Amino acid sequence: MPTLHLIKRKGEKDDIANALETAAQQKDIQTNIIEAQSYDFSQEPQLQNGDALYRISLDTRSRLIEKRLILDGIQTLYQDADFCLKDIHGSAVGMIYTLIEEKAGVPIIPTIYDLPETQELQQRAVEKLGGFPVVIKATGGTHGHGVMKIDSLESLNSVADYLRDQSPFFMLRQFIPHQRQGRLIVLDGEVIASHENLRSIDFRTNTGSNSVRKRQVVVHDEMIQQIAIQAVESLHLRYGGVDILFHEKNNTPYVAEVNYPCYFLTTQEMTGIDVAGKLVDALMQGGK
Amino acid sequence: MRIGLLAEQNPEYDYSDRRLQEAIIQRGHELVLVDPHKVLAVANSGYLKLYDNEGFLLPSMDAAIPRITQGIDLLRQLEFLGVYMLNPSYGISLGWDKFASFERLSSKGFPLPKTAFARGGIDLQRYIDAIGDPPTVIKLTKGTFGIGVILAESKAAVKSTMETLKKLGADFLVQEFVQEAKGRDLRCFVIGDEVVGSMQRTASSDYEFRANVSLGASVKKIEITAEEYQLAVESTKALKLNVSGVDILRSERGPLVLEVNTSPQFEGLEKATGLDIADKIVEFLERKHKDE
Repeated sequence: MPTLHLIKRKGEKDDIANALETAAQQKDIQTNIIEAQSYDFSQEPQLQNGDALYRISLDTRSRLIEKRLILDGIQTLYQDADFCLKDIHGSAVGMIYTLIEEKAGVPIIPTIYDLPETQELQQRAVEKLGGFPVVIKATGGTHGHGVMKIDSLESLNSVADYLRDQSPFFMLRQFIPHQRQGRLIVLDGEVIASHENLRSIDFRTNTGSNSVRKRQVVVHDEMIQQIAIQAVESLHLRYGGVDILFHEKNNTPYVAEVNYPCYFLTTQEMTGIDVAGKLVDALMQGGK
Repeated sequence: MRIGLLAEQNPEYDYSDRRLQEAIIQRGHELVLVDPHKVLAVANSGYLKLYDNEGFLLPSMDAAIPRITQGIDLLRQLEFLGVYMLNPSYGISLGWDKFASFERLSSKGFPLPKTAFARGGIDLQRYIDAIGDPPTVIKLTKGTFGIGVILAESKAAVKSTMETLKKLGADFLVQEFVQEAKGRDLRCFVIGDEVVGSMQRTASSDYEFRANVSLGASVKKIEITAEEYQLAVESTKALKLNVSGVDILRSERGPLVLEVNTSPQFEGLEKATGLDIADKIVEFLERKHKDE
């Protein structure tokens, strides 16, 4: 009987694992948690043809285990397993994803993939982004941490001097004033559920704990949904959580990032849509 | 005298280290160059021995000039072996720990820019509440040469920068931005009870608020007031140092002590004033050695 294998770090994202296990149980599908910390590379599990594999955690070890276990005949949420195998680890991944999305024509937030060193370069970069304020974004940040608002050249220069040599990669982005940030969950070419985070005091709509954020359920129009689908497919993924900022003046959509794997429980709880069940179905049935 | 120069790199690459090396020799002393990262300490019952990277015992020294940014243990060991340190290990430890030096200076009544610091998981909003409206300076506690001194000009910028630094595991303090200083500060070079030289440093452009020479700041000789003179000497003593570079901001409410540097560079000062700072440092060591 095919088994759904879930890779995760112990003590991390238990709620996601529980939701997927429960959904699988309801469909009489067996699950197996592969714990990243105690994974034994000398005695690796043999996944069977028709088994499915999904990585819940984001860390490098979990990614490596996933790469070890992906074989022909194992179902995943990658459109192209080779793309996953070539996927680089660590903090550069967010920057590379953004770069690939941009090259595929996804309307991303205008980005300079660097923290320029000289004042002249900084000035030119900021001009290209439409002037101050701008945003510095660390790749690999979560819940808005690693996203800094910068108001002047003095400030940019002093921040960049320090951050340039730090280990995450930092990108310079246009500041998009927005009151709404969409989270659209894409699965196999469809937006299956979505909600919006609403701005409160902070300039970031995705900051703060889940319990204090203001949100609303929204079904976005076809054009927005297509942007989300395009963003996920540009990364050769079957599934992803796409964050889209809507400019507060004209509602122009800007893709902030594609999250894979993504935390789907908030959207599931808000919309009542069984995202976990749909993921389990997609995993066990394979791609389109 | 046999004088050790504890330098983290080949002194040829650092102006101040090179000048100290020259002064030691010119004043007729024997120079012992010590790379603090390449010393092996062996302790056993009744003895402590220090070896260099070739396995030789470090020569005995009468005095040493520490020019280091980390590794206080070697200084302690040399003191234990009876070497007179230009700045004692205790003072250097205090000076390196920005939290400890601010605590000490504030408790002794020195005028300082309003500064908030905390260890651990305090809510970042508390910093903003404590310091007041931006612009605000966020300083890494382990920053040097102006790197890690960050200006944030809105509440959003302050909060998001602090969150990022916290995520990077960096310790920082948050300080009021003294706007009227306009990218200028005073560097007062203290040896013993004297300010032997002082200069004004001006940030390199209108887009730079940090007045560090390493960041291109220009320097010029300046006369300091009696109050500034006293602040420089007394803050050096308060941190148990003999030699320091005291940075002072001229604010609307009077001079404020910004920082007391334990191994100050003096390239800018020698060039701005024509003074021979290296010679004065070695001369001070001679006096101290004689007194001891």
